Amino acid sequence: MTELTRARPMDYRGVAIVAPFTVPYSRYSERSAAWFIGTALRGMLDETGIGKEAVDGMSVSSFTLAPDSVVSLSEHFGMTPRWLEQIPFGGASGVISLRRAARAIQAGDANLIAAIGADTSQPESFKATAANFSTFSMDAVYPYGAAGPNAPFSLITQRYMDAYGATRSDFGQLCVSQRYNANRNPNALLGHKPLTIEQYLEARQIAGPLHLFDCVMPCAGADGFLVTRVEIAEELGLPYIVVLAADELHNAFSDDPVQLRGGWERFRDDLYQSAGLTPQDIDVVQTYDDYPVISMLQLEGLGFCPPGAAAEFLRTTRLTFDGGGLPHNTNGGQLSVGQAGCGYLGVVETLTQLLETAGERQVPGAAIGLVSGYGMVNYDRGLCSAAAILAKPGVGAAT
Amino acid sequence: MNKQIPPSRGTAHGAASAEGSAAIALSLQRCAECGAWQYPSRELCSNCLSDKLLWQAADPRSIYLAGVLLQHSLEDYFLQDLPWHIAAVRLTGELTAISHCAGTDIDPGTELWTFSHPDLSGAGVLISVPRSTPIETAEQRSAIVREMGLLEDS
Repeated sequence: MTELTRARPMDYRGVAIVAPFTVPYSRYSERSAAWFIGTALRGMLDETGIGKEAVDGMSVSSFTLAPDSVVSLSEHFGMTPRWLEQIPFGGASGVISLRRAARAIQAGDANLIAAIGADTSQPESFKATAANFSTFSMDAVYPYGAAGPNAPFSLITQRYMDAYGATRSDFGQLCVSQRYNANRNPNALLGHKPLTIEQYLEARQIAGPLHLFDCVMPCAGADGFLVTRVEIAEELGLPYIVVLAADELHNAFSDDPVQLRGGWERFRDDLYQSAGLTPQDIDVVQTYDDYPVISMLQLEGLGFCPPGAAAEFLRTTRLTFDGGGLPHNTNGGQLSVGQAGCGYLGVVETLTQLLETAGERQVPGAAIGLVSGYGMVNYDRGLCSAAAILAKPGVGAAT
Repeated sequence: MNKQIPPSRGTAHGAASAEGSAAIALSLQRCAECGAWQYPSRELCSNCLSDKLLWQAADPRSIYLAGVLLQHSLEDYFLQDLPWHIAAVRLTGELTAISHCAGTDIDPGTELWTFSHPDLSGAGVLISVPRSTPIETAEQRSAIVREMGLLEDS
């Protein structure tokens, strides 16, 4: 038997997402990842007035929770969940956690699931993660300069620049736009600092084309949201967001010599058709931005511009929340907020925008949001691609 | 100069790549059932899932895909020799490998040699050099690796 015909994922009807919550990030913390996860859980319960006993499912992601796991947390937090999930897909984890939780809600495996991504950070913890990231990385990446993720991402960035003529100024447009957004986000770790294109271009070189402001800053923090049934959200009087479509693909285009695309382009037609939308209908976009080029691959893969054309897109499209173009990474993205919690940041920001609780950085009238994930550079490329289209109730095809 | 030892946290399969690399320029795993080359080294063939993977002499001709100069490292060993040149190269026409690179100002698409050699830690690492650099003998290859600073200073 050869490859089977791909079936489009079923809809996510009846699923409600509530209570996006962030435990503010810090560069370092003596707290554990479990502390950040539990603090996020408490924050969401406080905001909604829901008792801990009502949470019967939990999905977590963390690079720094080991040796504990999600089941350890049930004991830490005094819970008796009937559904547990741990999503180890790096920057795609937030979107995939949302998918898994939504399916469990639809199937009746749980009533109320807390989905939380969190990490702690100590001065030596990032080195330990980088040095032991995967067997392939240990054998075939780390010995070559021990640069951590900067090594594969600098090679991807250089290849992208060589192939498509993108320049540092193009990457800078993305970073400067995100910092502008972060300047209106009190939870952004670098939000108090402005960033000009001149500062971006003059920054210290890190690896080939990557300079200081291209490299995400690992830190400590947590992001989470609750997933439940629409009728429960309505009964509790909680404002909620629905899932119009979501999908994922792993290790796509593995024959490409260097990664210039991810799995998004393989499922995006189904994604938009399921939602009854086109890219032009999206009001606000969050991509996973560990490095600028990765956001560009997502903008291309999800149809906002053709393959290889993201640089030109950035030259002609404003990405700030109030620029009238494509509001993108409206909280500042990881490049300005910091990196913790495996891609839940983008999900939380999408929910925040659609619930119109984003304060100074609110995109007026945002009704439909797209959030994408990218994760796990197991060797020389990110293996995980994911995306979801979320909306206010009553908007789009599947509500 | 008292050099530190380069980082070596590799697996047993990675360590196997160091064996035999002195005698031949480049050895890679190849599947005895379907013939597919493998990199990084592993236990099962990525094409047919056979566990019959044999270390074989591979063609050391490679293509330079992209290269960068690292200006920062997490390990002291490399910090003392920055900037450090690494490259993504295409091997056997079907594999991408990250390697140490001895050349400078190399354009994408340039044809190189890529050979394997133990570094100071004993780990097998890949070295890419311009085609003008002779790599036929073990002595030539060791001299290149020593010149790059990957072996103990003499």
